[in-house]
Amino acid sequence: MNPSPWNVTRVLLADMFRRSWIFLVLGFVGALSLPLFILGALRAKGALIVEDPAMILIHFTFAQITGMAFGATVLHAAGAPSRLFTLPLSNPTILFFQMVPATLLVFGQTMVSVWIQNVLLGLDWPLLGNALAFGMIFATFQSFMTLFQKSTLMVPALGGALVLESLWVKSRHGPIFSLPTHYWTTVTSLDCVLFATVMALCYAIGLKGIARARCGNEIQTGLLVYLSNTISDLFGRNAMVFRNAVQAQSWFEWTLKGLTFPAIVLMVVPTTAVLWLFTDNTINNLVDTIRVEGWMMSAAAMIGGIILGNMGSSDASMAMSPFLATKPLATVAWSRLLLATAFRSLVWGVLIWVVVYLLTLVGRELAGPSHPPDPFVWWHFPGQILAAWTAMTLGLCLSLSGKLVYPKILGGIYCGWLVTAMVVRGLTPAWFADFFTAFTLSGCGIVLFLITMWAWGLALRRRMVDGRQATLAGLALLALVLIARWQLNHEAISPGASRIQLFLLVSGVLSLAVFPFAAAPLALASNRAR
Amino acid sequence: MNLPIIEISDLKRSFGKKLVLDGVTLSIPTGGVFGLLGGNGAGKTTVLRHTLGLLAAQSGSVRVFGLDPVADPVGTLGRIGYLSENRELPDWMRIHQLISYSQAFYPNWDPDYAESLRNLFELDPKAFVRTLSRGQRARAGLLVALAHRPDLLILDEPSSGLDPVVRRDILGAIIRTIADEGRTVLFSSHLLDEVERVADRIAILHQGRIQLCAGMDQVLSGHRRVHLRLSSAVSHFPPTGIWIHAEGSGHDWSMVAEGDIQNISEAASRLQAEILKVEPISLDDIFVARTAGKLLAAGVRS
Repeated sequence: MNPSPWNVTRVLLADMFRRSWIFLVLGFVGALSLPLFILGALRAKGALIVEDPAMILIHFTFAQITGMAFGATVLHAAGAPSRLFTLPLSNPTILFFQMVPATLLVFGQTMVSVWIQNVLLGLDWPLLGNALAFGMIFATFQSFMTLFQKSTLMVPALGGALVLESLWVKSRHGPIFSLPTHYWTTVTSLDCVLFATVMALCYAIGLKGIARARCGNEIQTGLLVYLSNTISDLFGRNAMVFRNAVQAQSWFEWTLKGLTFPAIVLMVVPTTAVLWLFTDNTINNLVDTIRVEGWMMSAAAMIGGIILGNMGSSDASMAMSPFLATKPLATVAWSRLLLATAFRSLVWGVLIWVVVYLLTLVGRELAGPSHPPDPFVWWHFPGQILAAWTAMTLGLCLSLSGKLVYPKILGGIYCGWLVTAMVVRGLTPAWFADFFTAFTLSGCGIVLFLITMWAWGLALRRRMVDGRQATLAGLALLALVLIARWQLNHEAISPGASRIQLFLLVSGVLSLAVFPFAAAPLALASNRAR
Repeated sequence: MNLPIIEISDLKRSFGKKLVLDGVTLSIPTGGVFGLLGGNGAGKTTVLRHTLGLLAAQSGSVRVFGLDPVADPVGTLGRIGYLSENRELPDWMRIHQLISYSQAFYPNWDPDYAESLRNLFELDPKAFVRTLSRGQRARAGLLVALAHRPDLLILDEPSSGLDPVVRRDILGAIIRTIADEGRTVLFSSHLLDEVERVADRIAILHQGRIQLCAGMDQVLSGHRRVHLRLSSAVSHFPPTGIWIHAEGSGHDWSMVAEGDIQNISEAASRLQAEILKVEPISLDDIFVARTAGKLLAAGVRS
């Protein structure tokens, strides 16, 4: 084989698709699903008005979300360049394979996603501008990751670069410090020059990164490591003594993984504040955004749960490492301490969010009477915490099992359902599409409920939980279901929806709140003894 | 003979379509050093992982201290020290954190012994595990495996990554000390000189089956290299009867035989062969004869 960049890229690309095609497909469909869901719901209610100026902001926001979601998938699929370092390939060839196809994938995905939305929803959103921008942002991300992979300088360096690029993208949608005022319909020659310049810079940065990494000369910031060590010494971590195995393992789990969710929340909050600066800057807008983020915490919680449940020796392998698996700690006690760590993590994350939310409320009060508070909805706060708990512990159980097949199955079912729902919505009468959606959603609720029952039955049979715990879980679930039933009777629902179908779906989702108490020991046991 | 500390009965294990263990039956007595030998992919690590409860038996049974290690991990693992082949240790911990963390799991942890091992292995308590070399990681792993004075020490390829001094003097001495205290060491290796030096009993695993399981003395005294001259020339000599391995061509053959002198004489007579010389044989040659005999015979034929 001629080892030209083209040939090498062709071979390595084929390998990447062979290894990760399922993730790329799931990433594409998953990234597309959010805008399709929300915009589809708006259209079903007749609220999707193409000429509405708010659609510009929606387009801008969805483009970012889908770009980021798919970009993360592509990064995972491309893998670390270090695996190519021992092959007889030049640095430019390695970088070419790492950067060019992945950037093209992100570029293509952004264009195709917008095109699908245009076709299915009758929109007329521009294709090229954001696609070029997200390809460029992805390349920036990749190149900085390559150069600063072992350095804490990554955060300020990458953050600074992304802010500059975001400002440029924002400027193509209207004034920088205001809501977007128009679509990016025309890609000017100046845009093309800037795009080409940034791509060339990314290539140069990536090349420098690979050249350094290949000979073990990565940029490392020793100062921060030194400071971290000094602080830990000052706080007496040398004299650490654990009373028992559970305490030691709790320390292990918390130190290594427990801070993920609070850290994500902590990062999202200032990001929100920065983004808020680029919108209309009103305090009500900020309060609303932070409140909505209370629901979005569930996504961060699921990531935190997946990381917390990873018992593998690396991020790439979730199979329990022998170092942990051979610790003489009972599986049930271990799963309980993991759930306790998840709860602790959740409390910290929610506390951060609550403090920020309270600060924004105070800010609104200080802003004067021209900003009246929104009506108080009592169940939003407990609902947000419950949703975050459910998402976190579901993620925990999935990764705790150490088997990638479960997320694949769930992702496959979700994508299959989404595609079918889109086909049904496009090709069948509205009444049938409504029936299909309601039927599948209520069926989903029943299935979730049955899965929870199955997990509890199995855990009882294996003596991983006892009758008292099952009774408590049952009573808790009953209370939640009754509260949901009561609340549903007082909620206004859309004309096409049925209360009983909604109730079934909500009950099924609520059952997931008690699911982990039975599923976590089962998952850990199956991971520990394969 | 002591009661078995590990009893494996008709253990079968497949990964996908690949059968890795094919009816392994093994009884390891309490006390002494037991060496599990086998080539790459023979199934040594798979056997060890079953004894640790990291793999559930698909067929057959595994008992350690009379307990099922999958059903009772605390009861078994609390009495086992284990050094894994890949030296998996948490990179983010410092050595002193690793020691404190590990100590919490074992009521019998001996802090003085741990400290003396740390000094012996020259491990800096403030060093992060991620900064250790492979050999230093092996030492840290050994420290954690040894400091609670386990009844059963399981070492998976313990010499891998260790320099000759540590391997020969320190590891060898530790293993012998444990055995002399009446405790048990089970280790896998393909460094046969090392096994010959420290093991009391061995089992040879080949293609998922136990080829041989006996005391070291019994193994060495029960095998001999025999130089034969056949009355009529043959082109190949398939392993059969007491002859487990053959090299040569025509009239002159060098054989590995299992049995005493009388058995060998009788077998040679049946072949109408003259015995030229009988020599003692090393474990290395026995291992090759047991595991690669068919391959070599096939090589001679070709």
